[in-house]
Amino acid sequence: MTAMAEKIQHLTPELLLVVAAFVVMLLGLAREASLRRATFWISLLALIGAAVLSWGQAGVIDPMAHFMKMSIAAIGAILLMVVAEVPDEVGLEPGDDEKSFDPANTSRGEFYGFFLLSLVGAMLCAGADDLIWLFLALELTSLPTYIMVATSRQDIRASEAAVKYFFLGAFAAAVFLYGFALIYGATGTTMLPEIAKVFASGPLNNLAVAGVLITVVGICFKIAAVPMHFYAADVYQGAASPVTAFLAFVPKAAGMMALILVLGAVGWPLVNQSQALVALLCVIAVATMFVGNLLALVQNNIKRLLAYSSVAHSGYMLVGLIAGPGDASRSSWLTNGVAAVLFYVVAYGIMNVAAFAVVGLMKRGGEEVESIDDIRGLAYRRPGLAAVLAIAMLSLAGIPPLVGFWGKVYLFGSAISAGYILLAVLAVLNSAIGAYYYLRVVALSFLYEPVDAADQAEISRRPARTRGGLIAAVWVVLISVVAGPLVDSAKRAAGQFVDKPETPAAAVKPAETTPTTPPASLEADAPVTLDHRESVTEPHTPRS
Amino acid sequence: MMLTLADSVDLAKWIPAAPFLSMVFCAGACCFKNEFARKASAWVTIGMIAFAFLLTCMLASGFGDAATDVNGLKWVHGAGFEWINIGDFSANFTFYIDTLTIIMLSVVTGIGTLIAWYAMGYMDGDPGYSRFFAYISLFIFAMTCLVMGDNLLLLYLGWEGVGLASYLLIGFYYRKPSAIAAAKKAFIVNRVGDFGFALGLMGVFVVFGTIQYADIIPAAQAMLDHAHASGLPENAAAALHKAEPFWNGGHKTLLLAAIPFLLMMGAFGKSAQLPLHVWLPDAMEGPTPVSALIHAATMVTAGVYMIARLITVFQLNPEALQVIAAVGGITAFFAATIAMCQYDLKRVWAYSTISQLGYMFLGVGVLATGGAIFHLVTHAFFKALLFLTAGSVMHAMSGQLDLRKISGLQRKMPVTCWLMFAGCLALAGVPGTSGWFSKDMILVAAWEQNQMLAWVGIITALMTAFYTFRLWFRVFMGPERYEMGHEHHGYPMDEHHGDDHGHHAHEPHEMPMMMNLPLFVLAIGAVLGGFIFSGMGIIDMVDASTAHVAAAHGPAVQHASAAVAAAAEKAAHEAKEHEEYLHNMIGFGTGLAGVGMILLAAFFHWFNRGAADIVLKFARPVQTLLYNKYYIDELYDAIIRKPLKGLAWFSDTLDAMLVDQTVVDGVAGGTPPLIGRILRTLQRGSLQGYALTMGLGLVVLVFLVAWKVLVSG
Repeated sequence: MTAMAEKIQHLTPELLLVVAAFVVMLLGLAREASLRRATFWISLLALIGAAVLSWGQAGVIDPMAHFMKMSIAAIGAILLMVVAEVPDEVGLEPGDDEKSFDPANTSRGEFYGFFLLSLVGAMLCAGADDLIWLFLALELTSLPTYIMVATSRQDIRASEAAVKYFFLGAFAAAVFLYGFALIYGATGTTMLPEIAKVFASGPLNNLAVAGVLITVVGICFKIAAVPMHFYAADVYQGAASPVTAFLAFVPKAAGMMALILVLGAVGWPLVNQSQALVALLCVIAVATMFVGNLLALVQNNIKRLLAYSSVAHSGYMLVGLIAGPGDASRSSWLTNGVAAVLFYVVAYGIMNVAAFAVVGLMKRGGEEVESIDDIRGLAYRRPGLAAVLAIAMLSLAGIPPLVGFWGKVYLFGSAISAGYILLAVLAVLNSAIGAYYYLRVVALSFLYEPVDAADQAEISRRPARTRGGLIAAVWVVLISVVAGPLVDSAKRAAGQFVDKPETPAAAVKPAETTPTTPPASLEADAPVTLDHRESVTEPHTPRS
Repeated sequence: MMLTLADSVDLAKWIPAAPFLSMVFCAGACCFKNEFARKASAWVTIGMIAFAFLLTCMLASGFGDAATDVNGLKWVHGAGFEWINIGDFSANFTFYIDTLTIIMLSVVTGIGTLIAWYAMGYMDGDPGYSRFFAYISLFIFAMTCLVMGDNLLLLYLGWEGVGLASYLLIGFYYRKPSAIAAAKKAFIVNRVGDFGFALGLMGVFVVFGTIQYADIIPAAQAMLDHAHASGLPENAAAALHKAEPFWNGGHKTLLLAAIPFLLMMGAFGKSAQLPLHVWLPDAMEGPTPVSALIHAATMVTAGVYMIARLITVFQLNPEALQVIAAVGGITAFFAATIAMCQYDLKRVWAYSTISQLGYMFLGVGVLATGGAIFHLVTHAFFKALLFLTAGSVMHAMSGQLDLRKISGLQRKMPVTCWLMFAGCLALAGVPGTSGWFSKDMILVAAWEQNQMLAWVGIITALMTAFYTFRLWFRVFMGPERYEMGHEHHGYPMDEHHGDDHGHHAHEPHEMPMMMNLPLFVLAIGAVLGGFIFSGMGIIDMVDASTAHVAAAHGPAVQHASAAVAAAAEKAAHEAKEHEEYLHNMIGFGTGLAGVGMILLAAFFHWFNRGAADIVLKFARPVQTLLYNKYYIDELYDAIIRKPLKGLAWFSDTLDAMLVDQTVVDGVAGGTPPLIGRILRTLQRGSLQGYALTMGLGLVVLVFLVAWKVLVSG
């Protein structure tokens, strides 16, 4: 029980947010409009408070949890500014008149409340050390988002998106829960450190491989990776843009951390544990990058374009995850894939918020714009917004010296130094494909004259969202120029995976004789991506 | 306030940070059009630069005790933050502070403060007031990074930063086509030099394995000592090439010999030396305080600073030093001849700047780094003064700068007249003024190495005296006659109809006292700077930063026996006497001849202007050639711009026909969207379909893994 008390002690930031979520839900039903409006400030203060509290936990909790809790709370504060006006836009929000107030007709309290709860889920994910905790945290991240999608717009498409998201989310949860169960079956424990100890003794047995495999595929839903990516475009399109910004960051960050924790328990280098697992991850990463980028390429709908771009970015992050943290003796930046993933999650979150904030500001007849053509000539009308959009797009495309570029350098560099050359080449090829559609958006806004005034999309006055987008863009530029501190903290955060005790089985060659001979018919279609690693595997000895 | 020395070094990081903050502030102030925002941006900028100057002074006073002596170099490491660390390559935002840094910082922030102060009045009423100060802050920030950085990449960052600030400020009047053209020209010409600089930087990393000064300089010094010891003092790189065991890898020795030439290209571009000088005269399109600050006092001297900083690396290839000295000498002469025949007030000063920069390059080329940096400092004072007073004339005359249309302004603008006179005395090198002291240092050092170049320098000094006073006598003396110009804040007058500030009468007028105040400080520096700075021991300060120069200069004495040592001491004593003799001869000889040239200028341009016209009639072809600046712009147009345009046209056609139509639109551009369209058919939008595909995906993956497990275990 003392362990539980100690855990609770380490959860002060989360607890603060939970309390704030309940306060906000109650105040959202207040008769006075000013009290209802105060919910925004309470949420913002709670998020800043949570970020500060998390910051103060350095050395107390795991380094990754420390880094991610802080980042999630901080980016959450920017996200809050971007989503703040969503309840007003739904159109049901009662006016200042106290008489006309109808508690059934306001969603402000719930919206902010669920927003905070979802962030709590993501923060809990970061600190998870138990599969059950991890499962609950992942679900806590996702469940509020279903409601946020449903209430974000007065539109049948939002409801459709929410229903799809909910059912497919439940399906995915069932999948990874099944995976957790198999892992439990293989190891006899749900505690991640214990699992790691069991796994450390050598290559995984088949049951464990099956468990990790199904877990990974299930979590792919959270990060919108192939084959669980199908919902992304429809849901992102159906939800209001600010909520989409939320969907593209928070569940993805939670999913990424879940993957890091599970794979961390398996232990890097993954090839020593199970070649099949590496093959699986490579297939998922490559397929995710290609599917995301190629589908984004043919989109004319800006929200779907960003949705597929979000899929592609998950693929990039998986590359770093496959590479792993490298070995501690060569702890240069380019060898630490986990640090690169953590860095990229944060960087992606910020640039993504900037992009969606701008999209969320553009309206056509009260509805959000969808067509990419509505961006045409934005720079002539609103140079500030166009600049924010351009910074976000260029950074997403990975144009130096923006942060997206550094993130990709670190991700792909780690893949190269871990020996996954082909994977890195395919990832770079995908960045090139991606550059096309990102630059198309920038070109449309800067190089084309705006259409006639009568046919223009109007730009709504949403001060908080404008500021949120601006702050995000400033942060993108700031961490592009001064990447050092973030790079260092991400590296420190990944430290818990680098300094794992040397496993006795680390030097054991994984290529043992197979118990059964493979069916000859399948041998012919062995995918190229799977096999490139094997040549590297053989001489795998710890580098000096 | 009593600060310990460590504090003053700790505070050093605020020297670049202060102007950075004011840049951010002014950028914000650009969004507000009210009077308060404009005033505030000027005051914040001045305050922040002055604050940086104060910190520099504290640094200077605290330096002596804080510095550590490493290999004969006294320097302190200033903490900043980690910037780039990839593999073996590291470049951090940290500072290398030695006496050379402190001298440069004092010039940048000290003169920067004075010029910003002047600009506050000069730019008054300009629509881009806050923007101007944002650019100035950016410039000071970049320039402080340039001189403080402890590695070449930070130097490069500052180098490009000041280039950017220069580009923005030359094109400050962005509705004026000539300003835009000049800005582009400056930027593009500098790219040529920076290309070499970037290659040199990479070369340094390849050869030395680091770009930190603290590692490069001792390494280069070790190579130099090795070369001296092996009896090949002339060419260290060649010596290293022969002494293969000392250093393996032949390509590196070749690269080592090439590095000085590559770095030199960058210096020639930034400091407007032949053949990359063409951008500086056009840069006068910017507001005059900018010409004073960036294109005379500070930025253009960055090349001199870079060579002085890395003088050890340059010493490894003495041929490179000879090239620098020759280019410097020729540029000095060449630019002075052009300055004699220009009619535009600011252009005369621009060519004079190129000429004086030539002196500085001559100085570093003959290893007189002390003299070169001394001249850099005095030049900053008197040239800033000359530009600012020229700005006052321009302001008073509504943009009129043509010498033929201005005459006898002495009575209208007495203060400006005598302020400019002080600057002219220093530029002309009248004995006792600052310019005379520093120029003499360079000429004597040149005389000992290469008498030809020294003669070029001396003749240039005489021409300098003549054109300087030609201008001054034309503008301020003689009959009072002038034509007003038609410009107001860089644009033709009629663009500003509802102009609200009324001091633009149709008569030239004296500047307000507020604006003249900083000029007095500059005038004191220009006239008395020689005494002041040599009293402060500027030469010793520079030598402390480049101490190895002196050691490497003479014959190696460290192995000498007692008798030889005594002889060497005697020889040194004689050398000292000889040097003093040279100082007297060259210094006073040139100085007095210069005074003679001033009298000549007075005759032709004050008492008897008709005589000048008669002389000109006989020298018409020469005058036309000089007035047209040797037709160098036209030459570049013919041999570089036109062929490039042709090539561009050819490539464009080829691109459109071959690459775009077949490769891009056909193969590379067609395939990915095609696959995308096929994949799209999976996205049908039905929930059951998605769930089914997801389930199938899972099954496929499980199957894949199962198969893999079965194959390889």
